[in-house]
Amino acid sequence: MLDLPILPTTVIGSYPRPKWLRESIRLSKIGKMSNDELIESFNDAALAVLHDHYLANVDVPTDGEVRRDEMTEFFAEKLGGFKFYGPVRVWGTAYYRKPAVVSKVEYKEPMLVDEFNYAKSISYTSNLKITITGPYTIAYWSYNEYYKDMKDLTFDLAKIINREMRNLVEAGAKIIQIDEPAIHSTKKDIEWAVDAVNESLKGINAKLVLHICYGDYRIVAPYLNEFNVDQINFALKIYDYKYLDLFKKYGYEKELGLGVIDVHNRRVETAEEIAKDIKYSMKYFPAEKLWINPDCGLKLLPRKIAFEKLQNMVKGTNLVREELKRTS
Amino acid sequence: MQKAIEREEEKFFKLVNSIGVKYSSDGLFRWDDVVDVTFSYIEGAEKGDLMRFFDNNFYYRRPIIKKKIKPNSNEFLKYIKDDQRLLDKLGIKVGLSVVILGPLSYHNLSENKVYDSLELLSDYANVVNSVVKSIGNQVKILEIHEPSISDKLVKKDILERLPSIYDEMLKGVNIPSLLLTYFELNTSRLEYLFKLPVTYYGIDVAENKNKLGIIYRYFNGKKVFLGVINTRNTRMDSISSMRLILRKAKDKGAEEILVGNPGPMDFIPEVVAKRKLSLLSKLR
Ligand SMILES: [Zn+2]
Repeated sequence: MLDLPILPTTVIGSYPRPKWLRESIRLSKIGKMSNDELIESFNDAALAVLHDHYLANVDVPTDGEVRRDEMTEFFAEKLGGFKFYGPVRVWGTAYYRKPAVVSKVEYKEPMLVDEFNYAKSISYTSNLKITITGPYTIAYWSYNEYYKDMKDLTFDLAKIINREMRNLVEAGAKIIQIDEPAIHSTKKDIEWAVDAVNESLKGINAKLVLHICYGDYRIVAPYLNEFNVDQINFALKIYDYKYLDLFKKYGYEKELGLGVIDVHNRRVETAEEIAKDIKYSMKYFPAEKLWINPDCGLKLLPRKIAFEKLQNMVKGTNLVREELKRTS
Repeated sequence: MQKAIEREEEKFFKLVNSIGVKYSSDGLFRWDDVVDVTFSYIEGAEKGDLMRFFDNNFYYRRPIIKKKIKPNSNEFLKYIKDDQRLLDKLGIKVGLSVVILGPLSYHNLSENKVYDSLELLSDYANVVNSVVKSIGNQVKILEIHEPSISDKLVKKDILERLPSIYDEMLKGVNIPSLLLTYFELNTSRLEYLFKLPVTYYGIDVAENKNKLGIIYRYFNGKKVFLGVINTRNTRMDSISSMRLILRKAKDKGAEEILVGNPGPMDFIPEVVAKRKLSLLSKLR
């Protein structure tokens, strides 16, 4: 069992990369920094991020995913069967390298074990979380040139993700979060998408968390209890918590990770505002079932703002904890 | 910025010229996406949150309508003149198309705080009408993007009024109009779609291969635009299956057939987009 206070605080995963790390990556790309030096930079960045999480008093931190450029790209690069043609637009001037599946996808080597081992060696708590992108999202955010349909691709990816999760458990991972921001993209896939996620979780002996963010939660709401996870966290602040009612209506009964920080807005939420939001959510779900987290990864915010948001998230949670203590 | 856009446009025009197309837009390099274009011809809408563009990993800024919308042709007109000047400079004889968002898509993709639905559709139609008329015959075709025609929750009274909304929008417009619907088609909307008073009906045949049997039934006597390349997958489309579709469309009585990309090419990397567009030249 994990030793955690009521309303445990956590992050979704990514955190702003320190500016000097971005410079290191640039130097490495033009051949002016060796691979060993780049790894040293990544390690130092993980240390800096964990220190920020420590200063903010986050109960369940991550290493900020400082080694990963993008959540599909990172895995596609390390697996067999993928090819990169070039960048595609996500919005405005933001691009990512959307991979194409050109042959059967294949597991080649551990993708996250080194990352996890290093984070574990420097973490201030044994309640460290490691994140992995789920099979549906990797499939959905790739082009399929090879498989008969996306379903076949997704189930092949599920086996691969399962294999990597086993490696993580073997390395000592106690809390694993599977990221499926695309899971509710279309109604027509949702039933088998749930099965694919469960396939990837088969036999994994760890606390399992699912992350879902942005879009139409009505598509996934009826299926939430079917995911074989202990907890699901959602972006909720941005929707002013309107989906809580829906989750309740469908009898959602697992732990709920409550997104209380809008990561697309630079305004820093106050501790009081966060406390108020948590108390509002407790009208729908009991405190014992709630975890507190931002809506999504903090990566795109300036580091200073990300840090202030985390600090206030914990302060706001503490306000509610004190109130609970007084009234119990 | 200006220079960079011109460079991209120049490359684009040369590419479409080499394929030998009849009509082309300027590639929309000035804008982030097709919704963004509306801010260049409408006054009264503000840029809002990033919203997902249909089921893509692609986001647009939702227009927030806080007051009545008005036409604003100046900026738009200037862009078209710049485009035509560039075409003339390059000596390329491609018919320039002007791209606008369809009224239903504007209605569905924006957040409307002032109008009731039918009012917004009607005001939007009048705004576009005024803008398009002010452009006159500097462009050769009006390209109307209407992907929302397949949206699930469109009220029946809106669908039934849509032909008259289009009438308002196209009244006195002397260039042909091309209606583009893209992504997965909701076949229950076909009867509404083919009632709209446009010149060419655009269908994303690449993404609706399993529905072609039903779609063909509406082709008799119509001018159609067939989006034969899949703009959301990097897999190369097969020329023989494109030819088969063209032949079928003809057999089913289509009066005239244009082919091209069904919609925006933002969803695939540039190298693939170019390769796919080049396939079109092999079709004739
Ligand atoms: Zn997220």
